[in-house]
Amino acid sequence: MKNDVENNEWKEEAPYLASLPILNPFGVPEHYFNSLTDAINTTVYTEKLKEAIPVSGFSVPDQYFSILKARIVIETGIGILQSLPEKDGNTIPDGYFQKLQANILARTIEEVTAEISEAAPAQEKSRIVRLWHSDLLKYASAACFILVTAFGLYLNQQNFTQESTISDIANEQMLYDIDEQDIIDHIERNTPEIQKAAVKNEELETYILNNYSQNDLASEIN
Amino acid sequence: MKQVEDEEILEKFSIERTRNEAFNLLISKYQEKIYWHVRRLVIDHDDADDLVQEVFIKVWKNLAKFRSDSKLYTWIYRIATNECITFLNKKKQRNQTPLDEVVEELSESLIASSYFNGDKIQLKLQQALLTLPEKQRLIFNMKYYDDLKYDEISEILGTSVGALKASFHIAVKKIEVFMLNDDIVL
Repeated sequence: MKNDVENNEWKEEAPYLASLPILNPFGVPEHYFNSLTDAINTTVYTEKLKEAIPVSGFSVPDQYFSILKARIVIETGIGILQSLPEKDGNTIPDGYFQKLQANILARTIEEVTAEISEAAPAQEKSRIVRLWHSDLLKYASAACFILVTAFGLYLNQQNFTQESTISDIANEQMLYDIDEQDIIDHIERNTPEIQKAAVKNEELETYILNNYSQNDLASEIN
Repeated sequence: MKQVEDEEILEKFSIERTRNEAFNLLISKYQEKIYWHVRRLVIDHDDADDLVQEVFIKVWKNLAKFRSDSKLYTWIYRIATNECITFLNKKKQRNQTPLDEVVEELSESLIASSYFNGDKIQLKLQQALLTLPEKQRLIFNMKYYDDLKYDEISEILGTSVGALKASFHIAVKKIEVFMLNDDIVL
């Protein structure tokens, strides 16, 4: 009764307010109060854990916090360096990375192809060995060629010398066997007509005296 | 569903084996009342949700020390009220804003809130309440919405009944003037 009186006294002083229905204008999310008990229990459980295990179990090395400040300053310094522009002045040719990518891709394909061919022995291809690929083979071939050529020339020379010697001996023997008078006759018969018509000695003497000095003749005789 | 008596809750809580059960009963009995008390003071649902949980943590921590020389629900109300006042004071300090601006902020949050279902008159009433000093608002809420007796409010706030009556009447008059003022258009 007392409560009713004290709760209604104000209605005389504020009739407009008293005329309004006492409504709760606030709302809550759907099913809020169904989950509120669990939410409170969870929070309280967490608090219980904190109370039951007040020490976290973690520890830090001695002097850790005194060093920490210095480390933070150093880290901040690094941070300033990191804030500088990243350009270091080095440049690359235009389109370098596009070409690089293509090159890497090409080489990768080659490697993969080689691996596949190694991994498949049944499809083993005939191996191609380039003859002039090795320098040693080149030089050995050249040396062989020179030796063969030189040996051939030597043999040829030897053969030619022997043949000419045999021919000379035979010719010489024949000359010994021919009569001397027959040789003279043969030479005289085969000498051309022009050579037979010899110049007279008087004409030759006159020609020499007219065309050469005595000194020329002396030096020629000596 | 029959409400469990406070005495039964306290008795169960004093026994280690039934302590959790007692606390669950306590939450079920008071969570909504405490939520609405907090919500009407801080306006925002999320703030109210956080504060309700803080309130029940304090209840858990201190219930073993509770003495039956006061009623359990007035004791929980006191904890909730203190949490709300601390929260609002922190909000003022954090924003470094004068009281007027805090009231303005609360009023804006009321309009923007997706969990406000009242009509224009209800909104005007809430804005009238926000113009009141914190203590008058508290007293008005407990009397008007929770229908608590002055004795109970006195126990909760630690203020004499006479002072409470005076504060409540001042609050009612201010609200009546605010509500009848047609210049205030929402």
